[in-house]
Amino acid sequence: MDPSVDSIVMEMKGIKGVIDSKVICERRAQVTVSAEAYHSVVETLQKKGFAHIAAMTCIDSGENLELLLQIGRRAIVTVKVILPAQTPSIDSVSDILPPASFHEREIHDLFGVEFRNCPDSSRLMLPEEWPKGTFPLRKSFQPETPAPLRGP
Amino acid sequence: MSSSYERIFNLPLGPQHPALKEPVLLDLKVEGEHVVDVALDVSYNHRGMEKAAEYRTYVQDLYLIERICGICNIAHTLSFCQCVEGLHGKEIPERAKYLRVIAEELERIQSHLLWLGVAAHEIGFDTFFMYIWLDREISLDLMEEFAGNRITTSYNAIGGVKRDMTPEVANKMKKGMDKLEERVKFYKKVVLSERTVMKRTMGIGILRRDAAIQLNAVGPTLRASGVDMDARADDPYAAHSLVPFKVVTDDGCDAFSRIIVRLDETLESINMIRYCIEKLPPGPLLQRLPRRVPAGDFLTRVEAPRGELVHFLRADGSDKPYRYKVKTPTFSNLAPLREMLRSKGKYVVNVADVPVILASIDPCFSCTSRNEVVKSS
Repeated sequence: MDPSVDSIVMEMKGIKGVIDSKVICERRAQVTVSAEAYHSVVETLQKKGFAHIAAMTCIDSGENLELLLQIGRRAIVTVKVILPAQTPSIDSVSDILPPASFHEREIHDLFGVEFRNCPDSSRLMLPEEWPKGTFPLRKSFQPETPAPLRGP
Repeated sequence: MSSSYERIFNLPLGPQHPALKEPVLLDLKVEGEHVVDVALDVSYNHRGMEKAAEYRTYVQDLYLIERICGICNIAHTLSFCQCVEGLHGKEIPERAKYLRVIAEELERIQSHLLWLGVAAHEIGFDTFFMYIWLDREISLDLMEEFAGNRITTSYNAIGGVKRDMTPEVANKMKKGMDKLEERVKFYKKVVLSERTVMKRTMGIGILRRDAAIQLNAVGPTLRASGVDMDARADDPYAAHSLVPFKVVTDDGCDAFSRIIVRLDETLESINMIRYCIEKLPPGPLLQRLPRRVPAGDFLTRVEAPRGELVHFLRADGSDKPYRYKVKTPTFSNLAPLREMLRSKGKYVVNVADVPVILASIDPCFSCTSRNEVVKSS
């Protein structure tokens, strides 16, 4: 059983590297951390029972990339880190949460985030002939518009 | 494991292969007949959906998201609608909540029966496969009467549902449920007494309880390892907090347990549909919502037939999503699948068991690798 979000949010406030910690709604909380504290905060949460990765999301917000790790079983805590879009790199959490490596490989493919110490950084989602250094889910990537369909 | 083999060699199974109609490459490392390791490549189904969603309005996205997966289309649209409704901060009408549960459970029945048929086919029991798929037609016909289409029903709408349930459909549904219950109970009897099924599935694809938790397995794969995790109970949505049901688990940890869990879940779903028809409250079906969605983040979880489905929406106040993320159950089950395919100590995986193990997680690779763009600019 996961502890309640209120208590976890209060506890997180005291930890070094935590920028913001808030309850979003019932069973959802968000903790914003610095890139240096990310690994240790995830480890603290894992020890408190947040060991199930619901999802790992990356968002391109212009100058920065936001990395959101959404963990928890009944309540979901989002660990949010802001990374510079030019050189995004962060410690892998796959030593604490083993299945994270799959999520990290997906984000590595689609957004170009480097995960330090990720046991496997080979391509997972993109085909092998995909050009290196092209990240399709970044906002700068414009997909080709298909030719309009024509009637017979 | 025998160590008399001097070298380990790679056996690529796929992308087109005996276990599935969908492409996936299993790069097996085999020592004689035993699989010692596997590398997975799921990159053959690129359709660019997450990117495409950013270029379309919410109404258009509803139909795009539905096409992520044909079999669990209702789970996908349900998640999408919940994200949008969540950011609007609006509750949908009570009647729509119950109708959503009926649609979702009907989908679970047809998906589990589809899977059971495929599983029977994998173990070479084709008579069973034909019988099951014949009975699956009952659930698909009911879906057509109820939602307007067999697959890709477009049943959920932003703010509610699209069609009402008439008393005639309710009657047909009740009769259909009685027939399905009888058939599913018969299939359970067959599975429990038929040696072909037991020989091919017992002790195959073992995933221990602690490994299942540690590797974040989801859905029936996790519940067959004895963990009672279900998004419908843990994080109730639609009318699930009001509809009683039992989270089905089994302690066998193997492919056989996964069959039993799915059969029991089908029976649970039949009871849930009956309950919903009985208690269906009167009222409107749809709460109209503005086209522009207020800025914010929203994460929603739905228990799809294959397991926990997570959708995440970041809206920026316009009529198009800023970012849409989908985490499918099969993606979560990749790490456990890799564990199941590794021989360890007394547990050996024969090459001939690989299709059964792969099928036992009920994989859906069109969901899993939905999110890429086919051509670079």
